[in-house]
Amino acid sequence: MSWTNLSEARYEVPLDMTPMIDVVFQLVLFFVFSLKFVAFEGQIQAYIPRDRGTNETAPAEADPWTTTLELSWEEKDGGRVVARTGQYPSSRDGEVRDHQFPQERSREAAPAKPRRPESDFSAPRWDLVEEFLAGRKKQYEARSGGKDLPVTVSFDNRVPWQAVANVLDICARQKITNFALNMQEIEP
Amino acid sequence: MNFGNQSEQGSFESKLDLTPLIDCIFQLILFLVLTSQITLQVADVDLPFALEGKEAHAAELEVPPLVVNVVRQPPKGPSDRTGAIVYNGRPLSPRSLTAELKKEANYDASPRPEGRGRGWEEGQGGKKLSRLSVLVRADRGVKSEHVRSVFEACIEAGIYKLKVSTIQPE
Repeated sequence: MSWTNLSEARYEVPLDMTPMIDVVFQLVLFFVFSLKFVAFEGQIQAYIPRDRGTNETAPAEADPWTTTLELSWEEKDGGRVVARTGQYPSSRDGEVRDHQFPQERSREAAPAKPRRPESDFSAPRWDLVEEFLAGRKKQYEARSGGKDLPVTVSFDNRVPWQAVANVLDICARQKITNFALNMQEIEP
Repeated sequence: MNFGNQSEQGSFESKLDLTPLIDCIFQLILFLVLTSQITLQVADVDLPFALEGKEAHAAELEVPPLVVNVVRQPPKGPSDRTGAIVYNGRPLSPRSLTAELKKEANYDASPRPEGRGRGWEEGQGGKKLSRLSVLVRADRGVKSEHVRSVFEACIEAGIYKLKVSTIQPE
């Protein structure tokens, strides 16, 4: 507001920026909190079936197509996660056999990288695990008319959590919903 | 910036206006309150990588999930993967976590004054199941036994709806 009258010019009131700075600070705070904690985390449903925790043993009519995936830990090569299944298709029609998935290339190939617990172990070839599960799911759906393939995942206590999360990731991607985490520990 | 407008002789009395100062202090208090509330639930955890992690929609759940963190203890050796359970900002043993979860489940299921007691669901073998859900935020490098103990605590408390937190790979 400027005054044309010269004698009142000394009463010019400058624009007060303080409330504007307050409001801008509010906005900045809002974005800092809302972006950091919500947008980047994702969630995967982990299924524990409703009948776990009862003292009943496994139901007698377990589906023979139930696919088991076992993650165990070996101390060789500085620590490796080994993935096994009992239902790998063998060359003969209809037969399944135990199978251990091959490991990725050795991590020693890049020694300059800092050793971190989450990647400092040799992992199995997750792409082959995914291929196996996808194939089995397709077979099951064809035979049973669209039911969900039951999958049970068991893991050794020493397996790093990232490996189990990878399996959860694969099952979510393959839309395997009838999936259970086995609460029994694997015998070391 | 106030100018004394009574006298015309130029003796300006500038009164210190306290309003902006109060505003700033209010901002600081708000900031500190918000920061402490959020860090209570959400501990600093390196979440595992997963492509399929879907963003949570808080509106889907009637009650926000209970957040259980499994943080990595400072490693004492190159392959030390010990973890600790942190719930509501406090480190707990698996047994204490079970007790806390049972308390939450009982509170959620019990009738409330406003009549919204959510009750139990019916599980197999007559087991009571809670309608609560638990979000497990486990560090990607911890041993799975710590996360297994969290799952077992949930089962003990009758909570079967579990979610696992992940982040997108870099």
